[in-house]
Amino acid sequence: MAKRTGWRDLSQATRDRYTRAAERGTLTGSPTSSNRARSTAYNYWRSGGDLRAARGHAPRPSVPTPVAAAAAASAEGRGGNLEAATLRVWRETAAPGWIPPSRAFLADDAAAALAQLPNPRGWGNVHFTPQDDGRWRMVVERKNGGYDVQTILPDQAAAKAVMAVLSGIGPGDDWDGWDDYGDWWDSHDFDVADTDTVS
Amino acid sequence: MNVGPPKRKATLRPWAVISVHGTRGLAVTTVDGLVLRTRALQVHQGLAGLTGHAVYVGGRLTECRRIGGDARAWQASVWNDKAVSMTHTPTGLVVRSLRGTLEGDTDPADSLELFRGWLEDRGVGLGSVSAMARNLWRRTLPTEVEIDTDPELSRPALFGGRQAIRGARTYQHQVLLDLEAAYPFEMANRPYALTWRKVSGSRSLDPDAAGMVAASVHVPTGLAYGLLPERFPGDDQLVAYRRATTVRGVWSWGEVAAAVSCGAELVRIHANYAPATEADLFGPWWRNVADGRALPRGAGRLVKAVTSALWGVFAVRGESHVMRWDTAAGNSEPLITAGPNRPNPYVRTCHLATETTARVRSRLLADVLANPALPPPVHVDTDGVILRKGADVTAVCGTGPGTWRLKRAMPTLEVKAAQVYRFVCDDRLCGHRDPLAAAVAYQAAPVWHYSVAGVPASMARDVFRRTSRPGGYTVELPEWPAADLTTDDLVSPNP
Repeated sequence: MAKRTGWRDLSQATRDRYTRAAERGTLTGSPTSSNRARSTAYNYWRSGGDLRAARGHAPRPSVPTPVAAAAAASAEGRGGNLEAATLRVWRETAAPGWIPPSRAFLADDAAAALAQLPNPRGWGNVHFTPQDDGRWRMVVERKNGGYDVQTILPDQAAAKAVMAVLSGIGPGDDWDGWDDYGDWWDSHDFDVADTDTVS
Repeated sequence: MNVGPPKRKATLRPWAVISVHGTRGLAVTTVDGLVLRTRALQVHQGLAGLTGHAVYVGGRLTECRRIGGDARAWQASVWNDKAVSMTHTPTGLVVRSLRGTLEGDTDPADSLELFRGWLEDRGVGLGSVSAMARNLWRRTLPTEVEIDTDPELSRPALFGGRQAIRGARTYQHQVLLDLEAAYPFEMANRPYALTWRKVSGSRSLDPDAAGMVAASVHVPTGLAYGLLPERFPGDDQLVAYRRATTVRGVWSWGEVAAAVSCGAELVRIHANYAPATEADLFGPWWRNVADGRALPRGAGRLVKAVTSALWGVFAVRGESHVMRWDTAAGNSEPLITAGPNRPNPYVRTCHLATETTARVRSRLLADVLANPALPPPVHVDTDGVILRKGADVTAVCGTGPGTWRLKRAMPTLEVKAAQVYRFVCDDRLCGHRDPLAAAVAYQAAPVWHYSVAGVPASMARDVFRRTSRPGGYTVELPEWPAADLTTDDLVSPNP
């Protein structure tokens, strides 16, 4: 993701808009205190982050909000009957074809987290970073130079499953979802933080 | 760990069964027949000639040390205080046990050859019982799967089969019911968790899902048997099923759900884990091996031993040791030293054994122990119960794997402890060829059948006689009040 320079060249109104978005959480995805909002907005803007939501044009979520919420609750160990049922029904009826369908391969909450990314036909290189809480951040560069997109996978097993798909050894040769990955592995890499690049 | 179909083709080997001939000779049975060797050089050449065979022992494994007359040439691999293989160090020959499956077989060579053919039809070669069990299963996995759960959670919930008695005494007019192919059937019955996810305490304990829960459960009064197993404080070999108290532990969802359906009250959930990824790990395996249990004689018993051994592969723990003898005669106390430090690859699959044993205990509880239509059994052992003759068992009995069947009548039963009993069967010809003599002998002195778990049939009688009445164990009760327990509640999984 290309870094931005020239924060001071932005108009005061624009800087204030990003600061308010950072405070509300629409800029980075999580709200922050008013004291830290300005520095958060600056750091996020400088890092080249996605500004569409802060401008009031958030991209349409690729999974319904209740499903995303259920996936987040499940990944945090708060999943109850409702979350389990929501994820299960979504997986069986509405999950995109490029999501591995097998529960032996990928958990429902991991599938919902993965589905928050766009179709893999547009993926460039992919980066995995383990978090302190055991979850894994997955950042996908876009082929066409658009904003990077990211999702949080619930555990290492989910990250390993996605890496397996990216290595072309996923949930079975007869899976139709391979078409969406095309020949991704021929022209792109994934890497895991603090390890050598794996292709 | 990742488990999938074997990448290499199986090594198909011929078999050989060896035993001691005389005091130090070698008897070798192969598909070509029996060969006896007595001289030391002949014995050595005989053992060397078996390289490339799957070699088993007829009789006790450690008796191999007498072959060749020099016990120092042999060493045993020991796991959990049991010899699992013997190696003849000069030739490198490894000898394994078939766990007594061919004992009493009229034609063991034919049975073994039949078993070998059945095994090779499934792409698996001869080996140790647990290796054959593992390979038969792996051959049926469609693809590689990752199985990874925390043994800190699953290990405390691994209790094994349930054993209990109503009292150590003699009973009249009893019958034995058993659950046919209990373990493999329950393994193939429902999917297993491959990984877990911590979930809210409000999540229902779905008996059909392989979740785990740490909970406090109140077991009511008025029950003939307790509902949930607990490990005895300070001694993890002892398991208790307390009644009229609140028990706390880690159990599978299915087992807690069965206890609740039998009257227990779920007081509090301390931690709850649902399957995150799950798969039908054993369905294809069972469909592939079930027919083998019907093979004749020892071949069927071998298949049964191999299929029954699979769940135990996931429960293995402990360290390996090496046993040696420092005298040629091998009569001295063996020397036991630490074995090679091999990590156990199955340590993070323990929950498969935990869940399997819980399923069988739950069937036992729901079908028999808490069934108001049946009298309380006088003896309970894993997948079998002995109860009063005349009880209407038709409602629970069926035909085929996974159903209860009336196995035999026991006009007289003498129970000394859980898993230690003897009985007189209702076959008046039993043990006698002449019907008239049998009838007379039966009146005078009935033929007893002895049953002691984990002990070969030939030794069961002696062990039974050495077991003092009444059964049970004298234990200190460091935490639980003595009034909560009777010796009938408290049993050891391995007496």
